[in-house]
Amino acid sequence: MTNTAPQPMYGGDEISALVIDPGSSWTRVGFAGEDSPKAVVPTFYGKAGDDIYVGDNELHSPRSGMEVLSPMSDGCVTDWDKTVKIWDYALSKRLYTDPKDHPLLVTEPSWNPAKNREKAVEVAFEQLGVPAFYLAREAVCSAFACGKPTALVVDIGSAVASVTPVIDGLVLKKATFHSNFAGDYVNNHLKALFKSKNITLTPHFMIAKKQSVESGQTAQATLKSFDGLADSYLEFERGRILNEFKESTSQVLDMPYSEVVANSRPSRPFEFPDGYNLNFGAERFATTEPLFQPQQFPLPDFTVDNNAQGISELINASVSACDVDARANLVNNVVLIGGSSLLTGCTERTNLEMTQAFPGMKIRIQAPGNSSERKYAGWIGGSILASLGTFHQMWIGKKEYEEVGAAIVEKRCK
Amino acid sequence: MPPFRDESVFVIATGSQTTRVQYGLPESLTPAQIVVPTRVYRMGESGFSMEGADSDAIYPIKEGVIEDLHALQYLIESLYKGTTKFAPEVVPFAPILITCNSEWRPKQIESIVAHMFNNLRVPAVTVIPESLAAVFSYGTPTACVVNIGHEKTEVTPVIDFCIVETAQTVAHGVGGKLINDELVKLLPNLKPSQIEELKRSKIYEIPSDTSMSFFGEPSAPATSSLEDEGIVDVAAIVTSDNARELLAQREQAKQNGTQSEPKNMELPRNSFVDSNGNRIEVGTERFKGSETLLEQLSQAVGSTITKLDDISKRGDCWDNIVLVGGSTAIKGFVDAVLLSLQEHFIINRANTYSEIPSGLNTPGYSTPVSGGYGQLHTMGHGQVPTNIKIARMAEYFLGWKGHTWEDTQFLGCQIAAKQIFTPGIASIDGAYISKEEFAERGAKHIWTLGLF
Repeated sequence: MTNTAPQPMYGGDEISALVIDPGSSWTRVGFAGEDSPKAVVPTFYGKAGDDIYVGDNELHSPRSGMEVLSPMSDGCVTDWDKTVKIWDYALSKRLYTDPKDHPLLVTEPSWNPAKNREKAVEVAFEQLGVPAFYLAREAVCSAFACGKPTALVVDIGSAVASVTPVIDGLVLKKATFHSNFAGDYVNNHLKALFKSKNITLTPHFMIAKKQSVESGQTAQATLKSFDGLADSYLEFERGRILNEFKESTSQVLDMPYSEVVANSRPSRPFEFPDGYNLNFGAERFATTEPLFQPQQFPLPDFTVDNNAQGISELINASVSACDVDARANLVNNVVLIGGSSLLTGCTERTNLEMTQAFPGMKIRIQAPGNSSERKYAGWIGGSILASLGTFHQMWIGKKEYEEVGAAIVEKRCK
Repeated sequence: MPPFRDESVFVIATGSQTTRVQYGLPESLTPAQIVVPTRVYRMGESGFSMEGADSDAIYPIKEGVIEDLHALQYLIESLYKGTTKFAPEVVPFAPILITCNSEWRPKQIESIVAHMFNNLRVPAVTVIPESLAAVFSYGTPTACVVNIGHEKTEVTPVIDFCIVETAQTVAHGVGGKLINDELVKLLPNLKPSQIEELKRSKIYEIPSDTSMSFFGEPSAPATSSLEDEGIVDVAAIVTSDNARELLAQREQAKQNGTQSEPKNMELPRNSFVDSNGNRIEVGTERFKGSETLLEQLSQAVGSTITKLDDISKRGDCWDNIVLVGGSTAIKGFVDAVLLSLQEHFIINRANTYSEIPSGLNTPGYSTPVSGGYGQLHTMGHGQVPTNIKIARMAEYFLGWKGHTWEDTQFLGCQIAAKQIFTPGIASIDGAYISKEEFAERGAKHIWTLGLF
């Protein structure tokens, strides 16, 4: 969705670069210079025997025996083969473009291992055949999207929550911290909650029709029958219900969790796809609190490390690892992004936690109000970067790659 | 102010099956003047013709995708020259508005635009996405457009007249043809062409469940005929010479209507006459065959609106479902779509005590909340949809009496053309490329017009 017209490509000499921002749940693909990605595709692939399926339509098709799997881990690409298939789908079927014709900018997390970075540049030149390539840090891009060359970037995504100090456009790696206590972790808590209440999650596609029932009453829905659907596929489909819950019902308490306080907050109803509906009170808050206090809110069958860090702890660790002189500036320029940061009350709680952790310092959190900007900050920053005139000299050209090899990425992409 | 005159505007909408053309926008907009199959014929090595043998037939567009660009350009050229009585010595004066499908490649669109300027010497061109055209005829800036073709359906959310590309769903294999496929199984004795004709006949109907009244949501009629809705064209009666006679006739017809022929739904069997003059009788199969299509459509709409990033706009989309495409002409189809959507997605909050009005997000009356209204924006969004409505078309176009929903997208094209090319209160500036701009900047200039 663009509110302003896209950057003109006329004149013939201006070729737009492509920008790909791979996230753990969604991959954003589009043209540099535009204010939002043209395509946002799931970062998953379906596998049935030897067949691989990518793209929304294929992934959501109830196919017997099709598993739904992820090519990423810990925020980094691990399966390049499948990742290229996903990118290929987005580029050819949604953008109608051939990567051979465009320079390509791909974003990466601040902790991307060196080997993975080399693999990225190799894939770009040898499999996609791009003429030029650059690997940009997600955190730097997000900071740029918010107009800041220096910022403390707090990114709460689906698989990973991370805090990265960006100083003058460069990532401070030793002060970057990340954890797996993010959106997916909230999902796991929600699943445990529903299980404890004997609520079965029946995904939308299995419902033929539902009927209205009273709160707490058994669902009266007609279901469709399917054969041989893989567990991973069903989990993928149930994810949609969990997302709906997070968007409409979940909330982060405005202070560290206390059952008394949580119970005094208004409860909210939620209706499941099969019509079953219930009011949720303290649970709305108890299931998001693990983001901030993972140790105090463990899952029944999953032990949490003693060193586990919630959002505030990640922030504290990060700021403490920075130069004393830089700290005030960083906490005064916090950029809060990522889909999970949209949880109601998340910004307020982060603000509270930081105010208490850094007394005497002015805390200023910039959290884009527009949900597209919050989710796509990394992509938007990449789009800005790749369309800057001054960026032209930063691209790694095909010739350079052929001369120096994959090691060039360490030198050229800080 | 756009400088062109109503009578010189040329509107063309190409679909995989049919192309609609209008030359000159009449005072009161009507369905397309010309409706032709989207088909040309091969002539010689690389030429085309508008007539020819079946074996030479080319269908340039399949499932919305342009498969033969040159053939399509030839079709556009023939229709333009034929209707405008194009005379090369006359200064070109007829600007063109053409619709495009979401699966037309940018390069193809540029090529079509260039062809219009170079070969037809038009003064101005604009291209609008089909989904956007549909929204124009409903006068609602935010809607969810469901374009049901023969073999493909596109569900496109439009927010404030902008298409949300990231949430759009393109479902190949979902379309009117699914009904044909089901009917073929139910009526193996009929030929495919007869199945198609059955589907288009008066006796094919999709029953609407009486339980629909539970949801209390009145649906829009399947036909937009003013008579059917009980709206009396008073002006026509009063101004005619034999007003008294006309009124008497109406009364008689009304009384007769209740006693005359039984409704299609009440008959166990009914018949229709096919194009070869054969009378074909069918039983209750004529009420079946749409289940798969309806199910697929519902799922597509549900997953599309869920993909919208802007949660606050999802409710608006559910409130304005725009249905376009040939299948919408089937009696009972629109009602059936609405019912299916409600059965799958409607959120019933009436029974829960902590009612949160959608859009307002205030807490229950008796529970205190610290911060009060200042915290409204942090309260989040209530679950949607609590309402699902099929958008109602503008009813004041008298020329549309008796015509059905399938023409509404073209109405939108005409409205858009009027606003883009002719001066007036509602005219939009800078929404077309003039031939001067084309000469200066080329066809790529189309992307800067803000229509995509």
